[in-house]
Amino acid sequence: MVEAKRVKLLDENGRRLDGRRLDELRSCRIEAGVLKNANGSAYIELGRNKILVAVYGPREVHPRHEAMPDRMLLRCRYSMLPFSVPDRKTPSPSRREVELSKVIREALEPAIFVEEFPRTTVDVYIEVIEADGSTRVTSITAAAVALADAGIPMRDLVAAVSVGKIDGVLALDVNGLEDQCGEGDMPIAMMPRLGEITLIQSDGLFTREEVIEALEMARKAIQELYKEQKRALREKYSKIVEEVESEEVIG
Amino acid sequence: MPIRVSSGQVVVPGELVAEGKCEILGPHFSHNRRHYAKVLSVAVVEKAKRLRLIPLKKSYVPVEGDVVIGKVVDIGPTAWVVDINSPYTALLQVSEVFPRPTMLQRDLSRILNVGDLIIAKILSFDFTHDPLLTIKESKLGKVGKGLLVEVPPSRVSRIIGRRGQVVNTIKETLKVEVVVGRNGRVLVVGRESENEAIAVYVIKRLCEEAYLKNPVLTAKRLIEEALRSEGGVVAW
Repeated sequence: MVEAKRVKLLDENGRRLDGRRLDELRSCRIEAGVLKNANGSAYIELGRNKILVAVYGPREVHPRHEAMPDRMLLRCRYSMLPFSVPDRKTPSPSRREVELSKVIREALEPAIFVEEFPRTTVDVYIEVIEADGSTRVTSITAAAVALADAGIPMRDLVAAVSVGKIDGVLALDVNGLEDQCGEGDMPIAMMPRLGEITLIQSDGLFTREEVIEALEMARKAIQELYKEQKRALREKYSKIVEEVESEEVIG
Repeated sequence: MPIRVSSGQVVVPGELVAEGKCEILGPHFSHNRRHYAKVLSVAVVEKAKRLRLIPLKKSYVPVEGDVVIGKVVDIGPTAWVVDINSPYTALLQVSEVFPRPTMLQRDLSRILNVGDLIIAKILSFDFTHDPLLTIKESKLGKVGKGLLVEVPPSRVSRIIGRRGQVVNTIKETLKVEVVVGRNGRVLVVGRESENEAIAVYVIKRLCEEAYLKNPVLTAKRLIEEALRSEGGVVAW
């Protein structure tokens, strides 16, 4: 195995390799309702990340015995397509994908009113088409939009971002290279309106002060992502709203 | 003004829609006198203190007494498994098919087979068991002919209209029989296939907009337009 070369991730002006400042999010675009066959869906592009999420439900649970009598089940599958990374990834689920599926599910569940549809399931399928660092948080941001698009009752959306450590300083929204060569990565998910954290993980070493600073960086970025989530959902249905207004004039 | 959104505004789950004392219709939840949307909906301000939230997507939850149109998907030893376009699959027991008790030896598929459509009534449903159907009453039973339309369950009340005005307009103008299932399935049966097709078209068009101020007028206008271009048989 070739050792990872010591790459300089920050230049003299504090700019990152892609020109971003330390607290700058990559460009983000979300589109809601992109799949006809799913109950809800969303597509997100964050930097070079391209992720598609499909939501099915609420629907009957198969196998039947897994259904919960008093609440809805939430199932989540995170999967990377073979061509999403430079070295082909085998289609079968890796340990990482199994972990991320669990972690993403746990990040979304607190936002959902699970008592509303007992004995049903909501299935979330996340397909990473192209990966470039921070895919789990990007998936969460898109999955929340897909869930809303499907009409699932929620107390808030969920948005997520990662805070990494490169060349000793905290950097928001690390890309693939920064994640590989950096000294740490902290994915954080929050319900934006409630301000409550639904996912926090840490890979690497962070001091107490760094954690507090990272949370604040994440909180601000999550508000930005929340705006884009709302915009995507509103835009999807604004065409219908326009027809409403023209109907009222004639009708 | 307690209401924080305007008519026609799309609200996302968890979004603040109103504060203080007001009437909110549609899925919402409240906390400390602040009201939030629960699902993706369109807001309609009906009065200064009355806000209606219309969900953009809603699945059908069975209600006892509802008339629904179901499709047989499986046959069990004593019951048929019926898809009613809901997160919950329904069951039609043999005892709920005939007014008199029947012998169990009967091959169930000869009465109703997989793929058959039925007009049924929800006999019972609570969240502890699957919804149970009956087709014992009159006007219920297997569907023989006609066209089936699937509409979003949230639009069903609009297709029926206040006191049945909308569906009656369609029935009388186009001379078709229309059975509106609460689960979003509508059956149209008519003598003239063009009129059946026009009825289906009108029903589909009525469902498109998230909110219609006057469904009866819209229905009449759509029927007129369709007749002008299609030239189907009609009776005014």
